[in-house]
Amino acid sequence: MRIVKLVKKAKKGSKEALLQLISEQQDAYYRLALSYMGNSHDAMDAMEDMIVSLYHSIPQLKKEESFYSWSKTILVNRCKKLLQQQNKVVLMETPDENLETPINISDGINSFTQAEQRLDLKDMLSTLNASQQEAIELKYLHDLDLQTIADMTNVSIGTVKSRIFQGLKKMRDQFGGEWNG
Amino acid sequence: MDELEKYLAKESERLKSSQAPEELNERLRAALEQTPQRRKTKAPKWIAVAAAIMILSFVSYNYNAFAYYGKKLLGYDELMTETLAQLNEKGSGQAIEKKVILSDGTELYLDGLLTDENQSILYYTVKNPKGVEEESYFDLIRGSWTKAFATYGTSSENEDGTEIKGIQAFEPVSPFAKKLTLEYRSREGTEQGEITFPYKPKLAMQTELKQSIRKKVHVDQGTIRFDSITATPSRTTIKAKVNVDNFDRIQLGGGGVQLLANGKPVDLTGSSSKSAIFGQDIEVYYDRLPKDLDTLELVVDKFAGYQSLNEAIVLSGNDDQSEKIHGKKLIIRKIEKGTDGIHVTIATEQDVLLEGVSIQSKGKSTPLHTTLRADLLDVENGETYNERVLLFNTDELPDTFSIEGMHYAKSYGEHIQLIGNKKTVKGN
Repeated sequence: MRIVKLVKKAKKGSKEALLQLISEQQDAYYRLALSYMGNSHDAMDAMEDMIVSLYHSIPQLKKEESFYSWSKTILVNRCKKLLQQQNKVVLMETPDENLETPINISDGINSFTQAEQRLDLKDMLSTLNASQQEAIELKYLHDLDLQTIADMTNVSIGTVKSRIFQGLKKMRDQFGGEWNG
Repeated sequence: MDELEKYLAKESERLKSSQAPEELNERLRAALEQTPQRRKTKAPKWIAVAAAIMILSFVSYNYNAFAYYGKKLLGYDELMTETLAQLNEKGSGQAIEKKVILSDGTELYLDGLLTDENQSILYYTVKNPKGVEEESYFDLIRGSWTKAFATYGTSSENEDGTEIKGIQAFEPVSPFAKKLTLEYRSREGTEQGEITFPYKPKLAMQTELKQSIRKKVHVDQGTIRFDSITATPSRTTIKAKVNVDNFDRIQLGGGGVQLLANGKPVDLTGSSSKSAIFGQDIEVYYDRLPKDLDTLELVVDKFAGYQSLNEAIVLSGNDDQSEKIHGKKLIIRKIEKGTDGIHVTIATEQDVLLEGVSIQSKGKSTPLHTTLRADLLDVENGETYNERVLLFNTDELPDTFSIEGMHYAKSYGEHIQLIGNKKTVKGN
């Protein structure tokens, strides 16, 4: 267990060990930060905040093996805090109605194959409410487990499951029958 | 998995091809380097006993001095160093008396703050009848002209685990700040918040000695310029600018610089360094200076040094071949042929870094291409070894391993007099 060893060293105060841990999944962290911050500059700022915060809080991490889900939770919190400071719209608790404008597909054909050509994932996700969108992105695009997502979004696992279920359902309803399996 | 989930999985794969910008790693490293060293210590029991005795004897005849800390003071005796305990006795610092309730019902009390030009020390209590976690709750204190990062902390839990008393030190706060905002964290750092409280700069403790040094000491690969000494009731800080090649390649920093007051070393409590334009700014921390100061001197006992070696070690072909070079141990763990060349795994003491490494085979020399991996390993006798895997661009297994030189913690013994004359040797 190389990771656990590194985490133990980082707990003792080794900055080098902490850097090594981060660089092993650097791209995953970066993509996660990018999906919240929207641009590379802010994503890197968030990661700087994260690493300083990790350095100070790592002695409290009890399960060494859960370093990655723990640190990503901290990253997401840092991102949200930065967004709040920038007074940008935070992906939380927006009333469903506002975001639920269906995408207008001009030729009226709603099948998946055609939709895929004209819609990218962003457009599809944007039809969901913010918390469904966040849960689906975290699960499917960042491969995080439900418990971590629950920690990141400060809700129970049950709520995460229901957000994902409802979100997927809405996407299927909007973008064609083929997705109903 | 249905079509939609397959599509999401495909998108996820596609996303994975996007990579972090190259500069990210450097930025993270720089951010981390600028953060002061975290230190967490447990106060030994004898300090608690000593402090308790001192405090009790003090309470008996000068009760009024407790105006600032009030009843909370007695809870901290176990944690305080002798210096802090003495300051507490005098009632230095100011009360904050603020409380926050965290999401799990835990109550966080900010009891008092002790400030001077060197550092700020926060006294806090965490309570929860359902149990509390011993963690470091604080990141930094913000305010006008103030961004003071947490430096070190110490805490202790009561017997049934429902209350924690802690001391957390930060960098100094500005004397112009009227309000301070403390950022705190909980639940293993995942929950964050902040609390603002008024600050009275006039209650900060006075600096006892501040003088510029402006002396240079030459070491093997550059110079150390000692800039200033600032002695306050809570700590003594030496600031210096280091312009030494490979200074940060061995993990010594300023830890080998001694401060002698009246001929006796003042306890070293830590050191930190951060990169600056042309070199590094370092700070070395010591305990409070004694009251009556006749002489004060700095001694560069150990510092980064360089030794030219030009040695060739004949390889035995066995694993874990142990050698002594200039009194330092070098272990050649193993030599392997990889797809990309020859891998040589070596281990040295933590404070040794080799330079100009090459391998020779049949009269042909191959320089080091790159270092693949470096790990700090704790060995049985309590020492830490730095193990690394070196890659050489050749297919031939080597006969010898050559080293041009090494960086290591060298003894210098350079001396700078700050106050008084150098103690003359008896008989002169």
